[in-house]
Amino acid sequence: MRSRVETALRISTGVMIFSGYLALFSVREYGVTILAIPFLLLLLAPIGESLERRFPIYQVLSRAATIAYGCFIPLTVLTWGLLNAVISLVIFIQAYSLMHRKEERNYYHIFLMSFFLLLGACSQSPEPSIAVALLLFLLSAIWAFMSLRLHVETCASQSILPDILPLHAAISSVPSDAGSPFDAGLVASVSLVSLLAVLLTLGVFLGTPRIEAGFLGRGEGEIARTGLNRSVDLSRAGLLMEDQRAVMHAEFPEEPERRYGGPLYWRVTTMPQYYRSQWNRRSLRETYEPGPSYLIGARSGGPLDVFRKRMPDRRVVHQTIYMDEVPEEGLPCLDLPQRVLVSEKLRNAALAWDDAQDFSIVLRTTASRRLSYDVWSEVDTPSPDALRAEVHNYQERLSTSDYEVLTYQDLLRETRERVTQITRDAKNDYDRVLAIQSWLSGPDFVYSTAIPALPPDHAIDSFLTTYRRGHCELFASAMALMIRSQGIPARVVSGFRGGDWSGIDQSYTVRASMAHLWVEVLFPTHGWVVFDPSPRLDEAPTGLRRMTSILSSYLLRAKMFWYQRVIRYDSGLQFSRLRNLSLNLIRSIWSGDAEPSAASSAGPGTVSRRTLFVVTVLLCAAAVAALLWMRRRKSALRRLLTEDQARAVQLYQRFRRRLRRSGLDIRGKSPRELLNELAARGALGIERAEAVLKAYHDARFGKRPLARALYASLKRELRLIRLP
Amino acid sequence: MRPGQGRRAGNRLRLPGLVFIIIAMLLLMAALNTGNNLLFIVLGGVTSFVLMSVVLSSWSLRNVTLRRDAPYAVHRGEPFLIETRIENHKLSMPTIGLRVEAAGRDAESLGFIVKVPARRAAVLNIPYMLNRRGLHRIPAFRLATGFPFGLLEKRRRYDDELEVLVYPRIRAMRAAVVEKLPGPAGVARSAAADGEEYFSIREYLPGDEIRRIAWRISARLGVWMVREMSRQHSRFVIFALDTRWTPEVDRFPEHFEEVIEVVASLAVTLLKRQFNVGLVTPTGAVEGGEGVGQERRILEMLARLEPAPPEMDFETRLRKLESHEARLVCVSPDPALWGQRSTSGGLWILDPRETVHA
Repeated sequence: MRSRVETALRISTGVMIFSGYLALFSVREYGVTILAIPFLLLLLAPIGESLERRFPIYQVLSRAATIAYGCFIPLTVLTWGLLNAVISLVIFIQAYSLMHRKEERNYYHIFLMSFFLLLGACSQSPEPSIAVALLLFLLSAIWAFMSLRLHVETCASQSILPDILPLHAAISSVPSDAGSPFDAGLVASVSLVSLLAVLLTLGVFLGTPRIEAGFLGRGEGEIARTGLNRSVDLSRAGLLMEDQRAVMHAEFPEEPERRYGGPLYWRVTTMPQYYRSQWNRRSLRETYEPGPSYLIGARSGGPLDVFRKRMPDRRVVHQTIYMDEVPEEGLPCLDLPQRVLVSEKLRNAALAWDDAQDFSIVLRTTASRRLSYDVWSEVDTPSPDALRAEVHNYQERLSTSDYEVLTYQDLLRETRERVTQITRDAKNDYDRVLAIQSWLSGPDFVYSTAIPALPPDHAIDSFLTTYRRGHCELFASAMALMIRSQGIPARVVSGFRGGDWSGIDQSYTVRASMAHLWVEVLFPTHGWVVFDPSPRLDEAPTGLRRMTSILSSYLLRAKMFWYQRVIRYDSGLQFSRLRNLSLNLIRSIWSGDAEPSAASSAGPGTVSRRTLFVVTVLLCAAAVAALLWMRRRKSALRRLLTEDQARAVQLYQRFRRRLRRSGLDIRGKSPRELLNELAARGALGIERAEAVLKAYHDARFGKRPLARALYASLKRELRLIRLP
Repeated sequence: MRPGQGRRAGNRLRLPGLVFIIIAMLLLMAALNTGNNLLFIVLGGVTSFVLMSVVLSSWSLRNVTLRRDAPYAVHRGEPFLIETRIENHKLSMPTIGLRVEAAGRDAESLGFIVKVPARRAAVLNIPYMLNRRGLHRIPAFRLATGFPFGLLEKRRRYDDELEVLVYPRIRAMRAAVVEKLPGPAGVARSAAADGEEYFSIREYLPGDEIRRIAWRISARLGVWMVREMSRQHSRFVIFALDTRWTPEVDRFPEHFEEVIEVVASLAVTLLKRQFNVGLVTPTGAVEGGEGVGQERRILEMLARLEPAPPEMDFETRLRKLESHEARLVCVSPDPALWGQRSTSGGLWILDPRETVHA
């Protein structure tokens, strides 16, 4: 039996070791050669054990090797980096434990080292093959731990084999089956345990709340606000954290049902210059938007107002936006802003068009960046046919320097060939752009917030050929560079995408996690046209994230309410409020309907009233329930006891409460025992306690009266009982 | 409650369990802090190990009973077996990895059972030894299991008040020294005189003189046989064991135990030789008798003997016995009196050193 257990232990330990290295193999950096190590170790382990038994010098040599390795540790840190140095140390410890005589402790060392290898792999953005390693590790760990336990116990116990008999059978009456307890039944039991472990693992994985607080700090960088940086560095690896805080509140007052029908791309700023895996802002000579030349200006000395001449045939969308912290890069709004108006008078603040000729509007202020503003954007969605009919005359339309900036890319020849291959069927620029977008959005690429470490020189080439996973920055950059490789000017735009629609106040809430980077491609006739290759879906947050999001949204609304309705409350607002109220009243009286109108019923004020009503009803119900409970408690006491007895009981209960709060354990103790305990502890006011208990006994059991005055005085005296 | 159900005897978190919990906590912090879902999966695995250790080890000990049985009496220092029957009353699930141990702080493992299948019993014969005479309660047994991973050990204690009577140790003795003592008439008898009369033939016992071996009969039966040559009246022996506490005797408890063992060994030897043996002490007496029953009665009394108060009168009782036709063998725990005449009755007191088998 022992040999079976030992075999199970050896096999499961081997599989566990292998799964650790399989996990490392899933990290691209290590490659397939890492898988040779476990096989080598498992082959050498019995040889090492045998050498240790036969030659005492083996111990000395292995210790010398350990010391030598210890001396090289600083060198490994310098050469391979900290993580790889730690992994190599883990491998060394595991090899050392494997190649020596193994006791329980040594087995635990081997298991722990395998676990560390697995953890090391998990922290390095491994490939999906790590799932196999995880499953293998879990199952082998179950078998290994169980076999080790059985092995240790069977070795430690005296070699007594029990007789296994049916219940109620005498030992001599039935032949026992003591021979093989490690049988199919045990295997089935452990298999069941394995299944349970897998299910529990999944349960814990799914059920553990995701806080993403970053409370211990992160080495990878800031919380993701990719759209709000002046530059984008693509070689920066790490984990992109999704911040669920609400950052922007937007309304469309002039749209039907105050809801915008088009795609929500809240543009902040553009980055046309690309160099060495980095996008930067740069001024262009022109805006390259169609139409006549525009009057771009700003008005000061009153409400801040930035505007330009309107373009014909373009639909204007009015937005009212509130932001608690306006980004320095620009004011978020739909493309293309025609006018921005800040009604509030701001001190030491100025609103201006940015110099980069991309219609970005920046707020320059040294004070608070909280802002409520109105934007009128000219929205244009050219048809695909119109875009297909575009004429390739970029070099004529664009200045030489701008064309060079907008078409610069450093893709490798293989990548460019790949782009040519992708776009070979396209007959015009628009189809080429679409082909590239479809390829990037296709099944070959995966959206991931775990950003791999890309080489700083050719980050996008690595992304396109090797890693093929990442977040919007990589997708947008890849698309822009691929388009540029075809001689078409393109740039990336940062901002926010999407928004959570709220039917309550008919507004959109934009969260920080909606920060996004997308592509604008220049079409000579239609100007800059938006393309978005990122395959990411804007999924609604769930669980704790959803709660965070909702709370943050309400917090933003509360701030907005305070800012707009309290701080900025003036005569104009007062007048409009009164006017609206009187109009509503007249309307309801005129129609003879007591119910408020549909418009007002959907407003936030109605909801507040409803909430107030519900809260009031709940409070009233709670108050009534509390009264009933008190009454019932009193009447229950009265039913069984006289008034004096009930008072005595109340007094005694107060006495017990007092002692409990003083730190005395009163559970299961009689009044006499409590008094003794007080005396033993040298409590102050022991004579008062005696008086209280005497009064309680007399009234409760002796049917003597306990007057209200006496009750009140005893109640007061209770406060004077103190434990030292 | 089913008999032998036992009660909880606490849990023990083993070192690997502690390491697991620490790892789980660190992983939780790391996973929450980084949001790395792979760490959440690993955390799930580690947590599932801990949770299953807690649940399955409890489950393993559920509906498991322990009953044990031991001989009524054993001799001091003689190993005996405690039959331990562990029954798994669960309908379908086996109980795995059970360790039987004696209850106590430093509990040693008495045996290990890999598996008790559902509705089955495992019977384990655990060797045990008691090194002190008297009535002993066998310490309660405990079942412990670390199933499935050995991270946490759950224990269940089974108190069944199992008692074992421990007789004095029996050694090979030279019974001839008893025969040399003065007989009932108070005249010393020679060993040769005892051999004049044929009494019986019996199997050889350690301590018998070689010259009494019946060679022809032994050769025919293939077993050593000895001839019993004695007179009828000399086969009545009464051991008078003075158990009174004598404070002036150095190391009294040791001498007390020694003389009890001498008396027990001599009594057993003589009874096997068909002697009629009795025992008298200041606190009680066993009437003379023969055979296995008498042996059990004498040993039981000797097993339970405790030192008597020094003021008890034993001499009067001895004087009464002097008139008895049996040979009176006085035994005292006081080494100063060994081989001497007693001060009061003038009786010879047995020297235990002479009884030791060469």
